[in-house]
Amino acid sequence: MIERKPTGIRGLDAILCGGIPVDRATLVLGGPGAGKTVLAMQMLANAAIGDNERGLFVSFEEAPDDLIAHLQGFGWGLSQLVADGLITIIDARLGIDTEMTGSIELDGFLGMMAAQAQAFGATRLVLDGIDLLLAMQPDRGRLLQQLFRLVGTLRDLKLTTILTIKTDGLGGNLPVDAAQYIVDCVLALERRLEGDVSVATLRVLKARGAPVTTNRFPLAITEAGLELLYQDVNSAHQVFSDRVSSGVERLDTMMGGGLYRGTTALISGAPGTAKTTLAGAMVDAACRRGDRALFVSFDEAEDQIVRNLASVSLDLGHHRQSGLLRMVSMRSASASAQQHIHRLRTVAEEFQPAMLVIDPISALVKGGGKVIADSLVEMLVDFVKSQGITTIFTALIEGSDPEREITQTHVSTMADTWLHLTFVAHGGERNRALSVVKSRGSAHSSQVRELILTDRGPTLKDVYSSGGHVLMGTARLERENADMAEQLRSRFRRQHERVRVSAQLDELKARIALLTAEMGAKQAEQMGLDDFDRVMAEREVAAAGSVLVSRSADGR
Amino acid sequence: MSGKFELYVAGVAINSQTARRNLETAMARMNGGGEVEVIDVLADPKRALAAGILLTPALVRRQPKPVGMLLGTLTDHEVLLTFIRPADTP
Repeated sequence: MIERKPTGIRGLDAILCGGIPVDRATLVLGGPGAGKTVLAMQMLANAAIGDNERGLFVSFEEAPDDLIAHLQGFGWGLSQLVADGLITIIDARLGIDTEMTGSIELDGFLGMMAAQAQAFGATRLVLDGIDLLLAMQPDRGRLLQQLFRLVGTLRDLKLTTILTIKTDGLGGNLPVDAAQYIVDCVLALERRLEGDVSVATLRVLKARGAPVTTNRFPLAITEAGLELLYQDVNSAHQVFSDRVSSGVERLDTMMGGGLYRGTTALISGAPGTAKTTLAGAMVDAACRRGDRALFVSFDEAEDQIVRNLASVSLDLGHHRQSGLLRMVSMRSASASAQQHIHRLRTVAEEFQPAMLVIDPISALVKGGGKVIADSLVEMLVDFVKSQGITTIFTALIEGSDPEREITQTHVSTMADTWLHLTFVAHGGERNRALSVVKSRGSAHSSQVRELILTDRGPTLKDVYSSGGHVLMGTARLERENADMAEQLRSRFRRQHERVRVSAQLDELKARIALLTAEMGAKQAEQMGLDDFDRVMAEREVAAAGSVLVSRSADGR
Repeated sequence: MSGKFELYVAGVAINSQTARRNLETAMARMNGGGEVEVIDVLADPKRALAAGILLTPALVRRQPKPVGMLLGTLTDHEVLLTFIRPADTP
């Protein structure tokens, strides 16, 4: 197991599994302007500042004074480090009056370096532009032998060393090829054009004894020096179980209660689908809660966004004044994506927002090729998650196949929540429709809703679904009206029915009354007949009696 | 007039030895072209560094002026002779 020392360069230690091998040589290859010298000196400066390690910088190309002047702009305070004796720069340029005949050897050079390292107590060494030295040894066999000796000597001297070699300088590639086999760790710096934007990258070509990633990583040259735009996959993401409101009530419901804090959301859609407005609503909600929010817009001035959002009652200007909202506007073409990301990260680290909006992420990844863009987005997502920042990306989609298009930009796979906005054209209207494509860890609505921008902010409306069709806007209104009429009609019908039935009931009641009366009459009639019969019978008896009396008939 | 030279060598390294031999041969041929001081940079690195020497073998001409440096094994006799006695000196 090779012991490693951190380089102190952000990202690089992570991909090198801890840093460069201790007491061994690391080779840095690169074309002119790729950042070899900066990288080498930065490692010395970091070691000096961080661990009080002393370093020896042997410059084969630049005068020490020039070197200090060039690198003074980086925030390491190089001239002070040199004054403090933590970094010693040795001028190893060959004078212009130097001639050469025959060949040289490295024995003397190594001997002197050993003596110097001992004199200064140096544990780190940089040989910057050693290709000039190696080029003086034209014989391949001798060169290899010398290189082996160089590397061996450095190990004996316990010097953690950086060798830099130009890959497309003068001379053949012999030293480069040979050196790559001999050293334990090789880094390649590249600078190339992606479109019109210059993109710097770093790749680990070789690292003995470490399972390193040999992908190309984007590199940003910043005021702090080189920075590898790489976020360690093992970096702890902050995971929260509480949710933050999106500021759109019904949207929260659709997402199962809002966005989880510290997650990322993607709002995609065609131009004009209110992506920025939706993001603005989320920012407004964050600031209302008293959280800090950072709104990064590309190619649109901050004031313009504030004005536009004010028209839908999102008063971002107020939050800006209170200091809770910081708005940063960037020009997508003014810098490479790496520089944008670096700046973004710097501002975010300083401002410590709870919410970050990048509007749109598509502009950010415009500068720099596809591969770079993907790893940048990945890095950015890792970064915001490690910081626990709830992040909203908007993404502009113009093509006819949005799902495929956005997936290609990789953002959608990285984001935890994906809201997609579309225009639905129907009946001579274009209406905004919102759907939740995904929402990790949440039971989310599968329904499409209509997004309406009101003077009280954005809000969602149920869409009318009928017979497999989703209706919005006027179509939805018409449909709703038709339904209303139908309801009224049926209410009238029922009322009418009720009246008719009650009339029939009344009629029946009347008939019952009549019949009762008739029955009374009949009963009376019946009673009358009975009385008559009885009277007649009595009379008959009485009559019979009087006859007997008159006949003086004998009694019975 | 006689020249003053310093030959910086790295111990017994092959190229250093070659340079030393080549210089001796040239000096002998020139009948005492000047005095030569041989300095082993491994033994006295401070002196070498003070003189701005990092690579060996290296021949430095102090006299006659201008001061100059010739690196390498000093294989090319013509180059070496010109270095020891610049054109304007008799």
